[in-house]
Order: sequence, then C-alpha cells, then structure tokens
Amino acid sequence: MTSAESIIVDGRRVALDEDGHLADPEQWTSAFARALADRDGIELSADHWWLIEFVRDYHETYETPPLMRVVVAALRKARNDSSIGSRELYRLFSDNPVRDGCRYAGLKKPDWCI
Amino acid sequence: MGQGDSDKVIFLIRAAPGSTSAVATQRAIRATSAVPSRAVTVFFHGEAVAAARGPAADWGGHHQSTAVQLLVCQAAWTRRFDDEPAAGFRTSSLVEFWTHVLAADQVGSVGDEALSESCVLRIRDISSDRDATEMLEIVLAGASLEIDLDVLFEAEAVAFLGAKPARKWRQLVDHGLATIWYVGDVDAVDGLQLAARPLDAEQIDDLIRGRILIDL
Repeated sequence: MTSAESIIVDGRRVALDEDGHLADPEQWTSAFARALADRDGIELSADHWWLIEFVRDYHETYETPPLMRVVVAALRKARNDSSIGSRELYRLFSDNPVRDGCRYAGLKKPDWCI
Repeated sequence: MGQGDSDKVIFLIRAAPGSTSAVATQRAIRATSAVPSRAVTVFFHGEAVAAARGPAADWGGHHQSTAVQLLVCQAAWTRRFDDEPAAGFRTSSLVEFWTHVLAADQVGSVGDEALSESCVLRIRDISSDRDATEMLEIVLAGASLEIDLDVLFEAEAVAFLGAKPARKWRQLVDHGLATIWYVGDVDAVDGLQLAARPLDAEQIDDLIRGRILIDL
C-alpha cells in the first residue's frame, strides 16, 4: 500500500481503516474502487465489477459477506456456465476473492474466521 | 473407534464460564477425559472464550493417555479481548472446528456417534444479537465445507425467527446452504422473515436420527 491511512479519490482524500478497507462504507463510490485498483496495479474487468456489485448487494441484503461457494454459484448462474469454479474468482483476486471483493466494495474486513 | 489409536471426541462450548450450562459441559469433559485413550478437543466459542483467560489445567486430561486440545475461536476471542489466550489454549477457526467434527468419533457429551457428514444444529436460546451472529457463523463455516446442515430452532429461540436480525439467516435458505426448521407456537413466528419450515415435536427424532447433533 502507498498509504495505510487514506487514498485519493477524484482529487479528494478518503480515509482507510487499519485493515486497508474504506473507513466509512457510506463513502463508497465506483471511483473509490477504481482508485484502489490504480493503487494496487489492477485493471478492473467486467468480472471484477460483477464481483464488487454482488458482494455489495449480498451485504445489503444479509449484512454479511457471501461465502465463496455462494459467489461461485451466482457467477455460474450469471454467466450460464456450470464449469465456473473458485479458480475464476482467484484469477480476479489471487489472495482472497471474497475479502478483496469486500475491500473493493467499500465494506469492512470480515472479522470472522471462515 | 476412528482412525488412530484414540477415540476422537469434540466438545463445543459456548456458554460463559460459571454458567449452569458451562459447568455441566465442563463436568462432561472431565468425565470424558478421565477415560483412557481418548483424544479430546474442546472448542470454545461465543462467551465461552473467556475460559481461555483462566488456567488450562481446569480443562486438562485426567489420564496419562488422554490428550486434551483446547481451541479458542479466533474471531470470538478478538471481539472480546485484546490480549492472547492463556498458555495451553490455542486460537483456531470455525473451519477447523468443523474439520474436527467430521473426524470425530463422538460429538459432545450425549454420545452421538459421528457416523455421517450430515449435521443438525439445535438452537434453544439466543441471548443477544452477537450470540445470534456467532451462531450463524458456525452454520456458515459448516456450509462453506458443503456439509449437509439443518438448523432447528426450539423453545425461546423460535421467537428470533420473526426478529429483524433474522434477515442474516435468510441467506441459508435463499442460497441452499442449510434448511431451517422450528418447533413451537406458530403465532410466535408470525411475520416470519425466514423461509423456515415447521416441525412437529414428534418429528424431531426423524430429523436427528443418524446425524450429528450439535447444540449451540
């Protein structure tokens, strides 16, 4: 990370928390995700945006992040492709797709140990 | 007997130290660990993680050939305490808990034979929103391993199904992660936010039979 405390989004400084997630989830915009991607050296594809929006919608509905198996099932359905597995998600975010999905979606780092 | 030389037994304890439930579970753990050649795992979750501030010897084996492993849920611990668990306790994950459940010869004190990879999680009381959330995390951890899960709400816990925090649990049904059942007064779940299924008291045995039963 270039800064553990903040990131510049559309010329405005936005605070991050100690985990590198958006300090105030209410401040999330798609520009925040793009700024994060610029900083991380990632080019956000349509699949990245699908994951970000899925995680945001899921959290809005259930107040928790989705399980990986739920994301995989949803991506299969969205792409109408039963061959899709977790590998496709790890190609988007190689460390932890759901956790990074939360980070890009402006959500807090999940504090559970699943 | 399972693999290896020892019977593998796992206990889940969620009640706060000193509570009636915790004392009863501790007594059962002592009785189990008094039997030779047992590999006992105790998983502390919820308010029970406070036990890891006390001496591990309180939970230790009472027979030379009995090993007692004391695991503390990392998330439940860090939500409550800033320091480390006492010597003899080790932080762990809910996924590790379920891995132990699946490998166990016996789960809990009631002598259930862990003959299947199919589990019923029974909830009779929910003390707080955090308690409910941490119970849900146990279910989700099991679901992440694609374990066949049913969740049974009984007694006081049934009323929770109509409460706002129950929306988190709706994901279990919406995404095929677990089936939710309840036994009790239908009026108590009027305005149900979950697609829970009613169950007659006499059907409980059918639901549980041949499966691992875990009381949360």
